[in-house]
Amino acid sequence: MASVKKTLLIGLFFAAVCVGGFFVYINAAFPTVRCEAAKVTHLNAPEDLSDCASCHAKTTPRDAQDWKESKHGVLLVKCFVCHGQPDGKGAIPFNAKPEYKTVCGACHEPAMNRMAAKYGEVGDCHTCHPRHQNPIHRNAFEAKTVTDKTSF
Amino acid sequence: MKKINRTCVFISGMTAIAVCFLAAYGLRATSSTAFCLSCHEMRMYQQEQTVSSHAKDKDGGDIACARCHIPQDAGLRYFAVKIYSGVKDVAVHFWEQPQQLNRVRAQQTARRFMDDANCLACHADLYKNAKGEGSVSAIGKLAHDAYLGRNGQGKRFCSGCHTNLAHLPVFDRGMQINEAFASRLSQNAAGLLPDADPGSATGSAVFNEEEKR
Repeated sequence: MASVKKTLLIGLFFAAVCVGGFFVYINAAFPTVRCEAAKVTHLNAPEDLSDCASCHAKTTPRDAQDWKESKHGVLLVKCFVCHGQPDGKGAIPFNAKPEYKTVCGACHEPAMNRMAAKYGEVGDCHTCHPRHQNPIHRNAFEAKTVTDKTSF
Repeated sequence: MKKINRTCVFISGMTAIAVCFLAAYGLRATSSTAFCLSCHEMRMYQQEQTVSSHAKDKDGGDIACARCHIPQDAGLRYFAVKIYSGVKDVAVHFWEQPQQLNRVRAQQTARRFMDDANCLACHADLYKNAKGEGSVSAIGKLAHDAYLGRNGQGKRFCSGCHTNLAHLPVFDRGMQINEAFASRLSQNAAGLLPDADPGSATGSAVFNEEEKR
């Protein structure tokens, strides 16, 4: 009986090691964050800390361009307002994927409450408002109708 | 005694060969599109893919699910993704409902296991556009410079930037960049495309459920 128990324990141990090893390999070979820049701490280049755009225009050009054309870009709501600062000295923690209730809510809480009261909570903000992609001109052009108005 | 040993060795050898053949057959069979579609929740994704820009490869052949979603070299990465995806899909099939699937999480998981080699097999020259007819946009050139390590350290892997190529959830359909794909999907659901998939109504029903959530 004791030997059966021992064999079972050894079997369980090996099974646990195999499953654990498998997950360790999966996490090492297929990281959830697949951005090499994310592995390099921003503090390695302190001279660039205040200038997100100088790197991100090269490394994430679409995000940079989308932000520039967005309402946030036009109104100069800069990166650190939502993402914090890499050195941790900003008002909010440095985070590539900021927590929407705190970060969006800091400015948009009244609108968020109105939307929640009207429609209930549907996912997070980004379910309807894609992160950097809220171009300010697009809807204006779409909504523009042909008119014979010649003066403003 | 010697005879028994020889018999044992022969039987073991034959069994090992049979297991190898069965395993090879199993791996091949479970990588086919038909096998993926044997789970009804996968049909929605196939309907999206058939009207996407990734329905056909550069030679005009149909692109199977495995061609993008599983590494193509039969190494450790291949087996790891097969096992992980297989167990996950079986768990989802038996314990979750298609309407309750969180497609944001599904997108993240799918992107995690997208192998760049699968993309590069067709898109070898990163400075040409998807059809290989002209050069990429200025933004594309910058991003690919970073990807190739020529400018910056922003390698995000193909699926880090190129999203919604073959599948388009409802919440991503409003994006300007997805307009053409979203339009093809709604035309397909309405049966307006010449090769419209008659089963796509089921897909849109699932989408509508998803949209209501």
